Amino acid sequence: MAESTEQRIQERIRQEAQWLLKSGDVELVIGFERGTLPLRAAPVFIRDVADVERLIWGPFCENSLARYLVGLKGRKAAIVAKGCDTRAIVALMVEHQVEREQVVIIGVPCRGMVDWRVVARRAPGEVLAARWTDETITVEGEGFTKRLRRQEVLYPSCAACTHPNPVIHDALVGESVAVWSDDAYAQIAAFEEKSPAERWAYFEAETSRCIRCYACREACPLCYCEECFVDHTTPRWIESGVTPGGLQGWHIGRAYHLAGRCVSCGACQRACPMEIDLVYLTGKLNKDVQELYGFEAGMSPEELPPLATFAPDDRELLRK
Amino acid sequence: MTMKKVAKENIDAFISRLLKDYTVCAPARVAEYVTFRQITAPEEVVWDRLDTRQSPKAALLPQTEVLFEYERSADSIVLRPSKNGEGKQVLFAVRPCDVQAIGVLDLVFDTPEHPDVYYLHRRERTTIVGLGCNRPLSTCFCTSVGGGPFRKEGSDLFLTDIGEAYLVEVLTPKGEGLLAGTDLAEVDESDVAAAREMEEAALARLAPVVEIEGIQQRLEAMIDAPFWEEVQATCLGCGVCTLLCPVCSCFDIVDEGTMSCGVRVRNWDTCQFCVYTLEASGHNPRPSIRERMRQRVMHKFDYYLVNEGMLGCVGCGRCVRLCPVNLDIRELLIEIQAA
Repeated sequence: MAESTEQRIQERIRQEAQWLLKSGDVELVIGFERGTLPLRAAPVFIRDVADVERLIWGPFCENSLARYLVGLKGRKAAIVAKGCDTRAIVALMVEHQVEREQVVIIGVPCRGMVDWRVVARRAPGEVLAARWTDETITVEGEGFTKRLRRQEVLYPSCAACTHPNPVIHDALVGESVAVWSDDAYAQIAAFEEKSPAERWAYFEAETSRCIRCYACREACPLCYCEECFVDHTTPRWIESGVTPGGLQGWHIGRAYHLAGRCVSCGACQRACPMEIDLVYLTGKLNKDVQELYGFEAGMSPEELPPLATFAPDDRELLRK
Repeated sequence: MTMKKVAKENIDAFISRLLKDYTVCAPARVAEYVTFRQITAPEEVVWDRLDTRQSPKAALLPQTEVLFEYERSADSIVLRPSKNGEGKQVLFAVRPCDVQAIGVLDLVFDTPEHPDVYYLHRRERTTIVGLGCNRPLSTCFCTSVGGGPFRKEGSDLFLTDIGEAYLVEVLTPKGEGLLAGTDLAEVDESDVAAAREMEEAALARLAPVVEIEGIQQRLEAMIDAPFWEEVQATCLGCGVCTLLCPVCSCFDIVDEGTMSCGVRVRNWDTCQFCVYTLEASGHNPRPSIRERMRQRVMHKFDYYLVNEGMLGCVGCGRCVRLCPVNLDIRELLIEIQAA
């Protein structure tokens, strides 16, 4: 069987990692390794050239590794980055959290990440093994083999993605992919069509399942505050418990803090153990920011997010 | 111990009768997953899923619980106890690992020195119907941590799926109390043999993945090991593992309201959060993920053994399945034993 695009990418990632570690250009390479479960990959920090064979690439490399960059404290690292992850790196550079010289970006043209929960649900039994090609994913368990089309089991953020190719990179480890989504905001537009009562009912139902584990926050590359507003206790900004006030307060606050900063990677939603729809909130704010200011986060290292800029001659001020 | 059986076509009638007298918490669908929640009809029970998202822990220890209300006027403070009803509940179709976890909760909240009245109020009104695991998942590891797919300890009634019927084992008077009016059939040798076969088949899928013997001593010697620095690298520091854990029971007490009135609530807390150990001075004795991750492992596999004589892990696999970065506690334990 012909080698898949992703196998070639995996080889290239290993070559880059080997070269970078050997030359001493970086202290570590942040990538993915095989997960302990058939439908998972795991982030890994590779420090030793001997370990580069652990690096993998495939449809389950779903985490945004950019979230590890802020914690590096000046150590120089290489990072395996999908299109969305490179946008996160750019956004972090714009916000002065990451220095360009500090990271070597191994850019990966991405075919979209596969939602392992959806795959598990489509299988007639427990999935014990998985293999894939560029177009399909085949899962196996006791007494069954099932093949699925990857495009049908992508994460919602990946299905809607309009930037699968890296926007910035030091090495590009594959051919650019053709963009499959023609409208990043199709799902958001559908949400906007609903009545305010329907929108509220959806928000209320989704947030009611939240257990306040903050996996969404911790997985997000742009949530790097040293002290999150929900952790502030003097005074406490929102209710502490899993009450409607506490849960809705958290979700509204989280989304608003990301307004015009979210790079639509979907890492928040993938991390959520309660399968809460999170990306429609940040997506709506992204859409608003794009419509009002023509700005998309993480696309240019020169351009500041609209909500982080101030001009004395702002025409909004002149209106008074 | 009495052993009976109930035909599968009669099980819904049994649950319907329970629903008349009890609040029933069982594995049921929520959104796209299955989790323990209160049910209102027997058809809501999902029988064949072992990977319930949350255990029935919240039925005994709600994630947010009002302890009392307070109201202050110029010359007095009025405290009103929380309205925890007198209703009884059944935790239904609970897997042995989750029942084992309730056993650990009992050790923590029901001590002679500090009986927790809120927990005990619910616990005393709770009856547990266990359900054996015919087909354990690849993420299950109960046999590594002192459990088993048909461990009956802690259940009041225990059900085993033997095909056309459920074998019903009555383990306590409380359990017997649930059966009044239920169409029970006598058990013959072939039923007992079928149950034994189920158990053997399940056990065959559950070869222990890690040797727990001696892990406590090993951990004691590892408190400052570089190991923790290495394994914590990719941990996000979220609370998925601990908040989904059926054993974890740490809580925080908060006053919600104003100076004049409000409520005192108890919320689940987790050692994985920075604020868990943050002191009023600003000092944090567990300043980074390294210390917090170590604490989680130490508590479960060292301190619980010392303090309670039981492990703080029952091998349910929830943290394994749902860690956002696939940090697998089984791998961690194997590495600790190999260290």
